[in-house]
Amino acid sequence: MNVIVCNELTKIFGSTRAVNNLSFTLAPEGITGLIGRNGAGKTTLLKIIAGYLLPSTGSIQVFAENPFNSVKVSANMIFIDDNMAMPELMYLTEILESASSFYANWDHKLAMGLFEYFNLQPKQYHSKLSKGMRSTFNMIVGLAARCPLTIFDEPTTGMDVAVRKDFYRALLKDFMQHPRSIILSSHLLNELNDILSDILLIKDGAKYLHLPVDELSEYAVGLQGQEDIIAEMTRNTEVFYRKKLGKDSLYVAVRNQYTKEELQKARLKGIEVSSVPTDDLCVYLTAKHEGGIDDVFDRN
Amino acid sequence: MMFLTETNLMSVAKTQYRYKIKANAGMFVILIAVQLLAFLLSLNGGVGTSAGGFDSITYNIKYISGDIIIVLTLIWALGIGISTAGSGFKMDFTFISNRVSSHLSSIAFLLTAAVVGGVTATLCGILLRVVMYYTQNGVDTGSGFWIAPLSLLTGIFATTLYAVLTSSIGYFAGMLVQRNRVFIVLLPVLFFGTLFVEARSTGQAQTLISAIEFFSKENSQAFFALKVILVSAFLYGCVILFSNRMEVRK
Repeated sequence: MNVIVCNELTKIFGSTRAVNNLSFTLAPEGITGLIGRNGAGKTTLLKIIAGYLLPSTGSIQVFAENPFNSVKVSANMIFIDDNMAMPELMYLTEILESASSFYANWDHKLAMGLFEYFNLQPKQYHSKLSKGMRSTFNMIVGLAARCPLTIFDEPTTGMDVAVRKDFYRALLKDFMQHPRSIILSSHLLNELNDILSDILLIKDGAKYLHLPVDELSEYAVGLQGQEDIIAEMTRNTEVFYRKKLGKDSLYVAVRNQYTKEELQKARLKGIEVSSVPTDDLCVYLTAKHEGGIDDVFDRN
Repeated sequence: MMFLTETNLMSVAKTQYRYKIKANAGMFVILIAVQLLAFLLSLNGGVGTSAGGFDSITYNIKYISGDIIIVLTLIWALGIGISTAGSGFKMDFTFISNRVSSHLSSIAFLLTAAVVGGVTATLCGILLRVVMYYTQNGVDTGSGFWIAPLSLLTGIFATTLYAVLTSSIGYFAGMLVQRNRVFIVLLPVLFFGTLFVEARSTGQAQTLISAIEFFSKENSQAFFALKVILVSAFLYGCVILFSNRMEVRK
């Protein structure tokens, strides 16, 4: 059974289509990266999945149920972000105890272990935490709840590098012991790359790609060399990124539809063939302009 | 694959109720502060004083009553209704919840608060009498000073019901505001507007007075209870209906 089945989902706020005709399915067990630029519709999509928002058109099924007003979905899902509303007058440890009364699979030992590891103070209020500390605390709630569907919306906001790395490691370890469906949204892929099993890339509210991570690294190829040869090679392919490197030298990232022979031939003509790092690729794919920010300056 | 947890509305609402009591414990501290304030105000001649004199005799009448305690407790109940509506959805949806379970737990919490408010306000009134007895010389301990246990219970009963009513009004108003921000302005304008217009044209705020008298002039306790329960249930029912498609954390 698929955890999420999303069919031609659209969400309109005023005049913007935050989610635009999006269809995808999410199989159980796996860590999915929901990647997209700021304003791509990640949070809106996740809030619809969580049953917070109503879709404008289209349908969404989570655990084969409409998540809006579903107790079953809510009981098996947790939505973590840095805006989680917590009581003002409860200590952090009290909040953890309350959370444990809600979730059937709650692992209090894990929660307290992480709590101590990240140096959170038991007698502190949630509203008094710094940004990074709050994200850390919310992340602990998300991990310890052990929900079959765990959603982290930009969970690392404000965390420093060390904490982020610890978080990813904790997430992966806990996932291995208790496989479940985890969605992790982020605008950048680089740090996530090693823990994700698949990637859902969205751009302007619509699905751009949904691939296992290892296929993504084969998705594109980088070519560098003389402009006219590259122009010849890329006439019929999608160009994701183009960058001038000198007078008539060019680097392009293109859809990899070449055969081995074709690439070999290109090498003989002096073209450097390289793989495109997946995090760069995501940036190229979601960019609004082929040449990136340089376009703005070149025009002047 | 993890197994899905099966649960039902009532058990979720019950967990939420316990969570709400803990999360809103501060509200009961505020209640104590409010009643203490009301108590101090009452000590100093709660309702009013009048004085006069003829020949060489002067007299000074102090009316002491626990009404202020009750009135402030009811205002507290109104406030707790509004604040529960304000934080309700947002806070509940952090953990397991749907819209109905959130309301059910809020209603249970407000009923609990009303009972606590009703009992403490009535007992606070008793304390006032005791303090008066020992501090004021020549206090008139005639009729109406001693309270029979039964009328004590009646007092608790009535105050609690009034608190039930005001907290449901607060919750209703708070939820309207959650539904649409316009009501933040609209509700006070409507309330004070009618008061003002009526007072200017007829010299009396007739609508408000008759609304209060609808409850206060009821002689039968059973009917009074029935009226309160029906009106509160109606308000809660409206809230559940008009908020059932409401989005959370937009």
